[in-house]
Amino acid sequence: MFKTILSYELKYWAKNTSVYFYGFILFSIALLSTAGNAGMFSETQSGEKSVVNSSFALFNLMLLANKLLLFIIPSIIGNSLYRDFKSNSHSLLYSYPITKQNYLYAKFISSLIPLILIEILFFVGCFAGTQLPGLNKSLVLPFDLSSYFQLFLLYFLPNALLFGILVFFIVSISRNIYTGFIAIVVALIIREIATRLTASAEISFMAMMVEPFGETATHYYTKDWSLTDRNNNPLPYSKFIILNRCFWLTIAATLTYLTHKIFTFSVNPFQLNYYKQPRGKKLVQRARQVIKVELPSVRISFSLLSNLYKSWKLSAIEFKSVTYTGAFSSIILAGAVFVYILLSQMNSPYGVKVLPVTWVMLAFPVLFFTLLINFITFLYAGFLVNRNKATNMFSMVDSTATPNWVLVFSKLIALIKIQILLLSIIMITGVIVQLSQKYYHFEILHYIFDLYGIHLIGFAIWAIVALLIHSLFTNTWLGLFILILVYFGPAELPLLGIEKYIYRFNQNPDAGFYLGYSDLSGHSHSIYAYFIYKFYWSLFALILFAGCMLLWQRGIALSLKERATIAYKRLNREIAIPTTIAITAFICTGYVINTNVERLHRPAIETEIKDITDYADKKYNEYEQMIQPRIVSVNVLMDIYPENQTFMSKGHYTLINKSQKNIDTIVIQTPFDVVTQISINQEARLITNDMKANIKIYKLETALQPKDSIIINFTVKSIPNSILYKNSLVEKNGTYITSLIYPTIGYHPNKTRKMPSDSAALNNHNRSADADYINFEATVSTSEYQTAVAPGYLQKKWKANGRNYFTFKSTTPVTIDFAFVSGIYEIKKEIYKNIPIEIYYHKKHEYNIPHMINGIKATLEYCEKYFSPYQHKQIRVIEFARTRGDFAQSFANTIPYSELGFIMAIDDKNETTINFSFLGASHEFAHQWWGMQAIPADVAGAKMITESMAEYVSLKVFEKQYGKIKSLQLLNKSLNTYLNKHKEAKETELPLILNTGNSQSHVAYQKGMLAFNALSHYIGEEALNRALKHYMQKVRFQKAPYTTSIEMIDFIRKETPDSLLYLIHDMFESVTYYDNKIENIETKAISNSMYEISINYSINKYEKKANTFTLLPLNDYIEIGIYKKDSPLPYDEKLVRVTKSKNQLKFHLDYNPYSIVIDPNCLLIDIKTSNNKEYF
Amino acid sequence: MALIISKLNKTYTNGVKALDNISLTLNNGMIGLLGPNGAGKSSLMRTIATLQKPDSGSIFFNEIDVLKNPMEVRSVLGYLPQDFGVYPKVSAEQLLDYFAILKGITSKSERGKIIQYVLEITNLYEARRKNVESFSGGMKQRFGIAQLLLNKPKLIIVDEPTAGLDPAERNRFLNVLREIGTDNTVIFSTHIVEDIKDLCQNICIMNKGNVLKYTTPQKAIQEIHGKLWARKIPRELLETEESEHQILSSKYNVDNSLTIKIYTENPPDDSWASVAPQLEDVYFISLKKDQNQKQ
Repeated sequence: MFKTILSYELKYWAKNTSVYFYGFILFSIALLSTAGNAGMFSETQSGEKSVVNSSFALFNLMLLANKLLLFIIPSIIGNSLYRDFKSNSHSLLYSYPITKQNYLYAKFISSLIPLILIEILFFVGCFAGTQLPGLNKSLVLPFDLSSYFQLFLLYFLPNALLFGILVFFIVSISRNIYTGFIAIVVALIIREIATRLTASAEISFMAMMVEPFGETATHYYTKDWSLTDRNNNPLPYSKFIILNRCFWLTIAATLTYLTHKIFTFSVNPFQLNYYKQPRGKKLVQRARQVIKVELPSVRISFSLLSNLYKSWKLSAIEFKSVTYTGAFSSIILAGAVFVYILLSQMNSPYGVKVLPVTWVMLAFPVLFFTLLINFITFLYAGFLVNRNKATNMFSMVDSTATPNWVLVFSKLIALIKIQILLLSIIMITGVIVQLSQKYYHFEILHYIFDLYGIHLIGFAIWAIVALLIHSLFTNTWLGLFILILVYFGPAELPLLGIEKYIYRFNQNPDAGFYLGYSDLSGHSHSIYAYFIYKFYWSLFALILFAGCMLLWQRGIALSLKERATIAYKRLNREIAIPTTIAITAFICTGYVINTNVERLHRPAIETEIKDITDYADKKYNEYEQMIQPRIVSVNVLMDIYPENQTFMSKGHYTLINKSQKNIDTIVIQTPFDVVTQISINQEARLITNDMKANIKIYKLETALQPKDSIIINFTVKSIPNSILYKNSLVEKNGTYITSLIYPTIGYHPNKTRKMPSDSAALNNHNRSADADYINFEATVSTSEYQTAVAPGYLQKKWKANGRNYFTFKSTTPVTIDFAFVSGIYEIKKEIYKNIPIEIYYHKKHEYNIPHMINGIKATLEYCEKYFSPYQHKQIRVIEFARTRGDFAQSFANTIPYSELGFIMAIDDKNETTINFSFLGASHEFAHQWWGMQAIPADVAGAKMITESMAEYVSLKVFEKQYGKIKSLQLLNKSLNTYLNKHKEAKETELPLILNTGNSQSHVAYQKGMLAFNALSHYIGEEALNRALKHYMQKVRFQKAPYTTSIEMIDFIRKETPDSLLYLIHDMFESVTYYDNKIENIETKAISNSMYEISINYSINKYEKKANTFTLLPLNDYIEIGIYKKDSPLPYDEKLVRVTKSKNQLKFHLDYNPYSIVIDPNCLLIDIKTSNNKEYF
Repeated sequence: MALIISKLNKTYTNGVKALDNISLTLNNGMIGLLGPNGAGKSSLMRTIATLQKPDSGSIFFNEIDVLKNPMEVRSVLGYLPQDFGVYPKVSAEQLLDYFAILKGITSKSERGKIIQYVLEITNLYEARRKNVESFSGGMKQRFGIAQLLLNKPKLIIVDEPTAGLDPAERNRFLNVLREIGTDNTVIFSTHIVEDIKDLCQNICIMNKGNVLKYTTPQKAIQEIHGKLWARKIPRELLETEESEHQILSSKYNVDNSLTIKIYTENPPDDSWASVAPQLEDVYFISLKKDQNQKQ
């Protein structure tokens, strides 16, 4: 019997076109991806290249494809059972002499076979993709069957079995295939939840086990692989991967057992009797046989209004049919739990926990919910469209006079209601999370607007697409699969060169704009573009809706040809006219958007800027060396208009020829994102006016003598905003504009950073290339509700023309970089050591202010004690909208600080959290010394003087305030960040002393902090700070030539004993790592309270130079910490001098130790710290 | 009021000719559609109920061109398909409300009244809160009638409604049909000749897509009056009798003998006794004639 069913089923699948379709799609995906990555279409990869068919690459591609395959599982494996239920043949079938076992196994195996064939087709696609002509041969390895075999055996097969059996189980008990789909979705959500709950810096055993695809377990082994490893290593058959597979296969076996146990050959399914029908009441047949039929009168109406009413009423029944099911409730439940966990663990982009403000609650779940909602829409659209057929109720429904559009529309409304319900989960869970974190500033309208005003539009458009596709393909599963392809397709269009958003269905520029919401300025400007594009695509959706009406199946199922004829017949005036209008409106809107996009000013994109700078670098290279007068004073008037988000600025530079030569040519460069006009107060001829590179070159009629001065006047305006683009930096509230909008003098190419050995380069400091120190005066005006701030001291403020005016002036010379901030602010003021500390903040953002003030106070204390006095009489921190960025920047006595820094979740009582508010304020304030008193030359390594020092100061200040345990956490976090970023960085890492490059911030920041801290630990904080103080005294406010990191290290070297000089080489002058490891530990009780401890450990130190590692000789001091149970700090520390790799240490203790750690104070940069710890 | 069908043709993609140039004019009252399986009854009824399009031909209901303006006829149509399902987990009351909305009754109170009324006359009122899915066959058929009545239809099409009903249910069902059939056109298909005899003003016998006979039951019986002969034979003789006569029908008697009937002007011999014709006989005669013609 087993064989009979099996062969019958296999024949069924062999004739099923959808299986071939799925296979074809997976084959195509594999083929195109491998061929594409191997350079078939374009040379996309730069730098070191990844091979397309390495085990690792195939693994990643397979993971992606198998997520798609998950959604095929219900339509094949689930369908094999469901077919019998649906066709009612189960009642017949079950009366045959078939054993349950035979039936179930034959069904399952026969449906697993097509699935395996589809996967094999996918592998064939991968293989074929590497065999096509025109590939970059260096990206392709020779064919290796074993890696395919491994992927199949270790990943695909267990996963297919697990999820196949899960679906089989669910369908067998629910007798409903939709439940099978939902089971997959719920399983995926639960996987996400489990992954999140077990996530930690180190991958735990638990995390590896709970992840059902074996991805985490594999990641455990491959996470440290370099690109070379990824290209060449086979995937491991390692312990945890095998364990994970076994664990989940056990689960699969359990499900198999349960299926076998619960499944019965009865007509009525296994039921969970939550709501039983009330029983017992016998219906009394009325005896009366002949009755008079006089139907009460009813009014029947098919007017537009009543049809709309009908659509609404009918939708309620459709909605109920979807939502009043266990499957849907489980989606809601799983979704809510997921959102709750996601939001409770909310981290900002910097791994810092932020307060549960509304935009945060909204921003993060939406990404995930977009997938969920769309999938549910696609699935249930199929359910609703095919429901009449599936329940065989269609003939009664279709013979009523309700027009097609009412039927389609009622289903659309039902789908939208489902979407609204799902979106509400975000709001409800968001509010619950806010409540649970004691955050009581509820912005319900903000939730409503974002969820139902913004996101819903996009989902509703997809709902119409789903209705159309399902009306066209009456096979729900095929329709679903096609919808998933259609859904992910538009995102891939740019790969085919289709970049314009008017051709990319339901997409809009700046897709994640809602993530950029600011409490100060509200939604970003892209919201207008969003609504415009959504209007445009809604028109298209109307056309699709018309298509839906034409294709709507009414009556008996028909051939494609008949349906086409019917569709043509249905195209009557009532449909054709509105559709024509919609098509016309769609095309017109598209045309208007397109011409606006082409014509309007828009912010230049990165590649365009690069093209221009490349062009300018070639053309104006000679001007780089040309001597230019230096700016000595700046006087600007800045009018900020928050209402229409523009600004208008006027001002002048006073320049002096500080050189010994006459200057007759002045080069002025102006930024791209503003409109600038220039005039010079002397007779000058504009000899070059390069509109492309924004470079103007003037020839002075009379050359500028040494020490002579010249005045350059300028007006700078923002480029007018359009509805699609905001071109100015002005926000409605919380504007932040830096001096980068103003012209610069001379030509400063965008080349790589110069080396400290370049003596000419030392004449410029790193804050500007056209000035040393300047006198600064600015008058800023803004709207009557806002306050504006600029560096310097407030001289006067007044009101005129309904606007607020403020004049700021620096009393001591400052560097030329400055900034304007404007917003509606509350002010918190404290005075410490005669210095007023002022925080300008957005109302309700008072959460972090005490921490900021504490950070500033402690930093003031520390820096004045160890380095030099604070140079200003005041310090201000001003909040700006996060639309402008998630950072802070230090200017003379002024620190503009992103609002993200004002909403961090700080909990000093929690032992595992770090007060980043305190740290951030401290870091920025430390720049008033390191960067503004000690100003480095504009050469490589400058950031060691600015950023590394700011990090060092904030760490020290933090340690004093919060203690050793928390500062160790911070150091460990820095080490992890450094190691992770180091792994991903594209540029080659240079030593700290020469650090430079865009992707290398982790060197100046995290490694800088670790290096200075290690130094202060080994040579002593006092000694290091003494060296820094001497250095500061030498370079403070110095004139050109400016200082370098080399000079700073020379000061430090003087305070460093010879035996520790290796530290300076390792940490500052080279890129050096340790790879330390505890091999084993032994403990022997030699008396009641005396233990002999013996530790075998290895210390290895490598220097990395241009991707080669050299083992360095050792003469290093290493700390070994001995811990008691439950103590975060070592109870004992042993300092050992290590001269060889393998070492042993023996000592006696009068207590029983708990664990041993190499380098307990996180001083060394150890590439793998997890093996530095061993427990007794 | 009349339903005029002319030259209706339909061939399915598998080659089966379901409707073969059918022309009929149906007046008010009940029309019984009689025919074996595959005669084209359901195809004809579905075509009239606008659920499928014929290849050619026309249907007019009063002034309405059914094929061109299906919506118009749907608004006066009550259709009970031969075999139908319902949405799971929906009570009779709710499902009737659903149909009432579909049929265009926008007033909630009117829907409420008519739903209560149809529930009462179909004797489902007490079961109104039960899920229709769980109804017995008879209750489900009565539900079908209930939904059919909601829009006070003028053209009523019921496809084998009495199949599976117990005698009491069947009786009741037919009475309701009869009540509404007095002023409207009711097309009623069945296997059971008895259903038609007492109820239908007209009878239409179909086979293989053709109308074999369209007349009144009385006329039909009248036509064969005195031409029907019966005889009791032992079972063993059936084959020989069949070879000699065209046997219309044969029925077992209690004593295991058979009573066979033939249709002819004069009896072959005296062993045949004249019997009073039944409607059933009309049916068999029509089918036999058709068979002979085809051969």
